[in-house]
Amino acid sequence: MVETTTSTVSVRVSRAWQQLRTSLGQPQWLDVPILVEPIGEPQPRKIVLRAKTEDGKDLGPCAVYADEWYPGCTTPNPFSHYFPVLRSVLDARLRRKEHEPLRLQVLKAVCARTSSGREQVVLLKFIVAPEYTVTGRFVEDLYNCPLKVLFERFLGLARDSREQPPRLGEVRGRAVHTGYRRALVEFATTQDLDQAAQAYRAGVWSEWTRTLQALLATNVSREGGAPKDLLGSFTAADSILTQIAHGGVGSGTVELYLERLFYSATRGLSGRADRVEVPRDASAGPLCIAEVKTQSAIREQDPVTGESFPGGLQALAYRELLQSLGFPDVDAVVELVDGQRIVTKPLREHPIVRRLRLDLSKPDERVIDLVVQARNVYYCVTSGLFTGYDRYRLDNATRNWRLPDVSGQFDLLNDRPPCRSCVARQRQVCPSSRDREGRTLEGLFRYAPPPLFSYWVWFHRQLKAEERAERELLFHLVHTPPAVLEREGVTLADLRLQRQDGRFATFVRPERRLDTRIREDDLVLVTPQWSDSLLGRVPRPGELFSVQGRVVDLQEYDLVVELDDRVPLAPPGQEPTYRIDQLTGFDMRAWQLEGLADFLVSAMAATPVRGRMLRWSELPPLAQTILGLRQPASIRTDTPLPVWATSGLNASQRDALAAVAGLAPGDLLLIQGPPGTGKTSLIAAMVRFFVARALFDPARSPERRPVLVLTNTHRAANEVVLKIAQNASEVLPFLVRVGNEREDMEDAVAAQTLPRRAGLPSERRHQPPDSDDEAIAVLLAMSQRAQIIREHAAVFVATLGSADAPELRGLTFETVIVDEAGQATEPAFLQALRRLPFGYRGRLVLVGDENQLPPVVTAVTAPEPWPDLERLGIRPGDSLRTSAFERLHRRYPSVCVPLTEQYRMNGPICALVSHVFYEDALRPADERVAEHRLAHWLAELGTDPPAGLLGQSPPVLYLDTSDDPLARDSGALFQADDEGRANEREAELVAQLLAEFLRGLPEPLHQKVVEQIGVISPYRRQNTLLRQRLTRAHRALSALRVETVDRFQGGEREVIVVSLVNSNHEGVIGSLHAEWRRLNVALSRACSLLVLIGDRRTFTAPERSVEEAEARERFRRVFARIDELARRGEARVIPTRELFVPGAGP
Amino acid sequence: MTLGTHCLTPAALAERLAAFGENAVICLHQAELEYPGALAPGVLLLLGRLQLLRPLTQRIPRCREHSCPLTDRCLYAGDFEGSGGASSVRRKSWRKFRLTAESYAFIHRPELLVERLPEHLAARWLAQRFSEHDMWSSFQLAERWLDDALTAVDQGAVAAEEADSSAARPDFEGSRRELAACLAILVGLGWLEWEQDRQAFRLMRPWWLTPSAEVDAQSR
Repeated sequence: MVETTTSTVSVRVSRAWQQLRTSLGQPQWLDVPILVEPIGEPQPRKIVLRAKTEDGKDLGPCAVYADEWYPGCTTPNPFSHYFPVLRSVLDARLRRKEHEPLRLQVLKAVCARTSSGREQVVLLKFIVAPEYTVTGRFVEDLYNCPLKVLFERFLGLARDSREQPPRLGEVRGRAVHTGYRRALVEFATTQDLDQAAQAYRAGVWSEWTRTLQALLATNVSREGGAPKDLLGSFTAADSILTQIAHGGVGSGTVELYLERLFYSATRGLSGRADRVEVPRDASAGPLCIAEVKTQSAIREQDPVTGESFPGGLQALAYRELLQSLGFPDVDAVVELVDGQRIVTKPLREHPIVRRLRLDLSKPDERVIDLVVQARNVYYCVTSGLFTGYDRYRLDNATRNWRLPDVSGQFDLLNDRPPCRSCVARQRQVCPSSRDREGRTLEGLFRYAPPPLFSYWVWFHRQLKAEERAERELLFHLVHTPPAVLEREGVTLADLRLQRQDGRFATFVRPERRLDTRIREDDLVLVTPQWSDSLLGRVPRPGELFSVQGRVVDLQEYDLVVELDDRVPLAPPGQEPTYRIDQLTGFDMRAWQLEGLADFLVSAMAATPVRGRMLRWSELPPLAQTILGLRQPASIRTDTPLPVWATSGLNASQRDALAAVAGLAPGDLLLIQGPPGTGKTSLIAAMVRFFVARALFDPARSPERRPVLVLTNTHRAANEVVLKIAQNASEVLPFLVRVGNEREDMEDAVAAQTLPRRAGLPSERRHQPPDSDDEAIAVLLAMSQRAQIIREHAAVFVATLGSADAPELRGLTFETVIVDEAGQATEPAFLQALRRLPFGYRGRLVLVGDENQLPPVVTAVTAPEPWPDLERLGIRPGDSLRTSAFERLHRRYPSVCVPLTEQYRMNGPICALVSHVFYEDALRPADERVAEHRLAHWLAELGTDPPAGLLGQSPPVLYLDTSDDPLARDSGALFQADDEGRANEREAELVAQLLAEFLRGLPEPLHQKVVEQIGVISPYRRQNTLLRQRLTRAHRALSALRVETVDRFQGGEREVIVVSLVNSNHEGVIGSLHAEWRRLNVALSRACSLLVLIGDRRTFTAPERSVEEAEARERFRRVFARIDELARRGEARVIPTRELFVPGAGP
Repeated sequence: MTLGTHCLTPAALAERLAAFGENAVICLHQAELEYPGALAPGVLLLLGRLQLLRPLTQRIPRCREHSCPLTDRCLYAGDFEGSGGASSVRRKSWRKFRLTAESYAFIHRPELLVERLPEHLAARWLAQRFSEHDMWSSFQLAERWLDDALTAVDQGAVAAEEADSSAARPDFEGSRRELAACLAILVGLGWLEWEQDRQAFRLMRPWWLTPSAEVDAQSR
């Protein structure tokens, strides 16, 4: 049963409580959510709670006893996990001072009479914090080894990729999955097995060619043929096609849902089964979930028969999940692709079901217990509520792989852990692991030096807070009315499907503008909004019927989404409306946690000391430096450099290169590069220097490479490659741009990706060879080329997020350069350390600018303080938004080389930016840059500046809207950081100004001119408005780049127009402008003309909070400096009251 | 200091080998850990291929068995342990070397290296390159080495296809570090010379020619 509002839920809860009281002493199945708070002192076997409904109605006290006991109970369950999990969660919340009520989905409860004659509600079975979503696969992990979950999902431990070359077996499973899926779809459509076979080959081919790992690990087998994994994925076709032919798909009686998201808010579970077969006729049989497994490392075993098979718990969880959504009859099957055959195991015959003697034909509470136990314990362990950040509690927890303190007496868990595939064993942090000398890192937390532990805790807690917000997103979407979600800017409701063309679908809402925070490239869920016959109600986001997609175009009243699957069409008589909900994108928390965990483990593993607490001075020197405890070696800018190395560099770039050349292993160097100072050119020069020095070094081991460049974004990585191509093209044969070709890559960049260099351009992936033999031969040949290219590569360029990519596995680097280091969170930056040689015996160079945009994070609450932070250089107010570059620069100002000569902004624009943000230290690199004007640029295009405001403006133009009554902003539309403000008048002014400028120029030049103009505002909503006004004002302006500040960082244009938007009597500048570095980025993009439009009075009003004080001060300095420039004739200030008003002249 | 990074004379090399002493086991990883007087891995591999050292391919001793002083801080020590722990992903052969009678012959008569070096694949390859041009920048030379390795792979694939069998990877023997070692010795012999701030090599003596042909070449 599903409710849509808190009040209906509340009514149902009240009824459930009444039902309990009328059935005294008889346990009842309820399945209702309540909120609870502990009352009184904790007792060893009893927890007393106060319960209330979601809307705050008091339900009175209730209790939870150990072993699911209640007064009068004669059959307690000694294996129950509910009590220990709840106790752990409540204890941890108390320690964390979390006082908001805890949500429980009560499944079973009883009203019992106590020995004193009182009636007492006792909760027996419940889901703790169902808003926290756990996926079915993770549930399976927990069943196999709870300790592994603690290490992998709480700590974030990953394999040491310095040691681990790519492995082929990991790809085989994905290849078979893809082939199977494609063959199924083809057969369902055509009923033709030959075409299904071709689709299978195309799927397998696409997966092998998509996965670089395959290229780097495929080699001839010892017997001289293709490797078994490669061969097996193709030859599995026969059994898969037989399976398809004999299934229900061919008969057309079922509807197929492939890898669709399904989510149950009452179970706190989500999943993506390989396929769900839904009968077209509801009476034709059960809905069937099929989970395909290709790797059999983790299996559930029946200890009596010895039989083992994977995927059982996952299938049980999916079955329970779909049943909880309201699908009445659900069956499940696990298919294991084992070599060349498929072994199909109906869930009722699975070893896990047999072992526990579960009866799936009728409701069996042990099924719920099994699934909920894994889910609850997973939640408790991964959210840190089990251990918290108590180092002794953490270590004690690792002593027993079953985590008995929360798992009850675990008879429902597996008998032994699957250690063979465990990362904790590889990293020797698990008590059951030892290295070759018999040493272990057991006691990792207890023996960590206090500063290292504090550092880990500080960032780990913040990452976990972000992870939690993400895990609660689906719950929020399901439980919040669409109208409220629209106001938050994350949902668009009442959309109609206008067109569906292949993967692309166009949705429209002509009656209401699409004011939203959703934008292009966002991941979304599209959900039909008519009543489904099987469910008997309108599905909610993530309930099997949603299709995932990516927004490719967003206009005023319509949007286009690229979908993973076709959206269903409304049956006759149903209103054909859809809703679209924003999902978060790629989960960056996972690899940031990995970087952080790796730092903790690798720093300790690098010391020979075991079995006692380490002193921080025993850690590798670079680790001490990162912790802020050891001053790095002084930098030397007088290191002699060969002439070829410094060619084309200015004085500050030469100093930086000399400093880099003088670094020893374990040293750190910071290079601060304000806008336009040639950071990328310097990086290209560094790369060439290191590669040239290492090219013929007979001492170099094949695993050790000279230089790795890591960037925060793909765009920056591409820029580095382009700059190397431009300034040091001789390096290109030895350069690999890590990753596959991407749509946003320039061809010169794509040409440096390993697949392209190996002879596998992206279009080839879509053209599978005609036979399996040919496909295998081509793959082997390309793989050999890829391996040779990788062997010879000396420089790799990657994003921080791909620092663990297959191309880099098994390699370490003598020098790691991190570009855009000011924009990376500190845990993200730690990825760079993962690529340094063991013991961090490499050079680390961070290039960035803390005066530009800080890292993007979602958590808004300030982190709680923790001991030792001051010692680490972490100040009050610091958070994940404080980059390592900023902290280390504060800590070690003497190891920073500033770049002070810039090549972008002309004299007056540079003077403005330099004065406000760089204490007047920034200057144009030469006279040509300083004197560059709009007229020079237009002369290069063969024309003169036109008449009108822009054409005749000095380098800085400020349009002051302070006294313009039309120029007030719209107010905040969304309850989020991006408040969704807009300013119609500013948008119109920008459009008219630029249209006037274009009209004064020859038409053939319009396209070239537009390419060199950029419009920036901090608000997405304003940008949508700007695009509409610009298009309306002049046709050529539809191609103009309009972006938020964040998206413009790193870019530049001859003309930049900045629309500040905020203009109101209250002087509200909002949280986006309160981040003063955003202003720096906005102002410093212009080469020859900067146009600023905004309300000086709003921005210079007295600050409304401490957080915005610095921003207000910088704005005051901006306007004061513009006034000063205006007095010198280098700027112009124009009130807009009379400007471009309909009927009035400019 | 690792010996022979840019310039290496046979005499210096022979002297260093002698310093290792009888029954010594010389390891590729000593240079990486900056063991005093270690020989660059490229040099060891080159000497191995020229049979002036014996690369160990069987019964490779554990590090403690030959009393390697670096065992405690060497990341690779575990690779040579027998059972226990995860198996290594790196091959053990050709990573440790022993002195042989040939080694002692070389120690007593460093010219032996001069006689054998031209037979090494890298030296033969360099001979071809420097017979095409007198001067090669290090980037050009390394790029050509890469191109030839790729060509060898492609030819191997074609050959395998024609033979209607699974492609076997052709062995473009030697790595760039062996090539680097070869270059360092050729520089040490004065047959090549570094130029342009160590950015290029210039041919000083065409070692692949007989003395009379060399005179002819010079006179032309």
